[in-house]
Amino acid sequence: MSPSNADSGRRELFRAYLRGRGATYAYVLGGGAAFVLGAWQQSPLIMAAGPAAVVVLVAAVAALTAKRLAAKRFYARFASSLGLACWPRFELLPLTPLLGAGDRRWCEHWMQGALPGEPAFAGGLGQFVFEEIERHGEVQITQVTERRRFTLCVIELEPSLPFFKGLYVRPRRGVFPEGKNWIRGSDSRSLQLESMAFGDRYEVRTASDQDELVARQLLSPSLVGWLAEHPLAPCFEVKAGTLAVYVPRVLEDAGNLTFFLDAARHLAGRVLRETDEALARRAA
Amino acid sequence: MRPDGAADTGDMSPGAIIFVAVLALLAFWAVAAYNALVHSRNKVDEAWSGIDVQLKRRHDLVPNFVEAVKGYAAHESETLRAVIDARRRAVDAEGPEESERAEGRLTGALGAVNALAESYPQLRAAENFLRLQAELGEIEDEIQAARRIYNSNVQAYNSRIQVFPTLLIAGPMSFTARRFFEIEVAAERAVPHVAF
Repeated sequence: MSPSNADSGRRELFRAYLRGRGATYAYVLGGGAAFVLGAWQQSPLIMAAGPAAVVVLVAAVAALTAKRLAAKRFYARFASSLGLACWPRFELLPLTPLLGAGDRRWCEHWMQGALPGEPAFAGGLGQFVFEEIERHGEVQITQVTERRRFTLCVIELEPSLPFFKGLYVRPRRGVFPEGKNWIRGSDSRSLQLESMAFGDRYEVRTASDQDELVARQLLSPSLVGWLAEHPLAPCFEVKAGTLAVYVPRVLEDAGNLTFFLDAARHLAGRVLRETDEALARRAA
Repeated sequence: MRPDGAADTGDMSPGAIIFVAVLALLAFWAVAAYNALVHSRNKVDEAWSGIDVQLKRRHDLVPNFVEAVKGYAAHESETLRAVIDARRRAVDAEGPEESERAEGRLTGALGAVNALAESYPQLRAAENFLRLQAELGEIEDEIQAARRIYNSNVQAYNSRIQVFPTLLIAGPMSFTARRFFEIEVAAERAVPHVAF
């Protein structure tokens, strides 16, 4: 049976690790070493607490390893059920503002290939992480000041390249925004839409060379209504022939990931249709 | 310290300071509430423009649609004239109330043409007619979506002007409730016919 989410099988793995040979060696060697150290220091506290600390440490390592392996198994099986290849870690080209956000960035559990459904879109799906870093002192000690995680789907839409120079539908930041604004630095302007429900959830920005008419044609009432009511509140960026659909949280279960993938496919279909219409308008 | 030993608070007593502070807070709230109401009202007007754009697209498509039908069913002139007439009224209509009635008539007339197409197999198979019919269907979907946006904005605006304490600002500043826009489109009219 396929695991239904990234936590499936974690408990079994945790128990297996605790009873495994590695853990036994760690208890005996680590606990013994702590006991001997306590005896050598003539400290009953170290003699008692040392082995207990080793047990706690082994349990913590086992929990972490079990969590990672359960997630790895889930994503590998989910990817194979969609006919996609899975990489534990992956790097994407910074083609849209989000894909270039932060000082360093990577994808975890990246599933890539021809996304299922008709028409077949080439792209990938996974967890995207970016970090803001500060460097201190002469030795340049690095400190991570912010780490953000997203569930991301990237779809290649090369035909859209001449018409979509930069359209960004992002979560509304509000008065006290969480984290750094990855779009603010780029050359962009705000685009206002008529729906209050949409405006409560999203804000729209466009690149300075983006044709506003094309952007407004894409953000037609039906798409605006769909976005305003979608349970996952998917956001997206279209730039450089790439559509990046994301939600600013980690989706770790098959149901939500499939739902998210459907949303990304829907958006890709809309972008492609608008591209075809823009091409037809240009030809006319 | 003053010679009588009382604390020196300038020319104002503590009571007066509190009164001025409360007054300033009320003024801030009134300005914020008024701006929020204006913002809501503008959003309603913008949403109406959104409907207007989609209705105009439909009006622009109707003559081509009629021409396409005329090529195959020229002797159904009465039905086609009714569409042209309904379109003219819809184009001339102003404001939600008038538009609602005129667009309803146009929808009815277009429905009659679609029903008419059932009797003309050649028309049903004509590529141009099918394309225009599909385009009309898409526009009607957009009209429905724009209508939902408008009605949701109207609902938010109406709620805002009716709740306390915003109604204290809305009443004197002449913010009046807007009515919802109800329009019947072909998709809604197409009730599946079940025969036993």
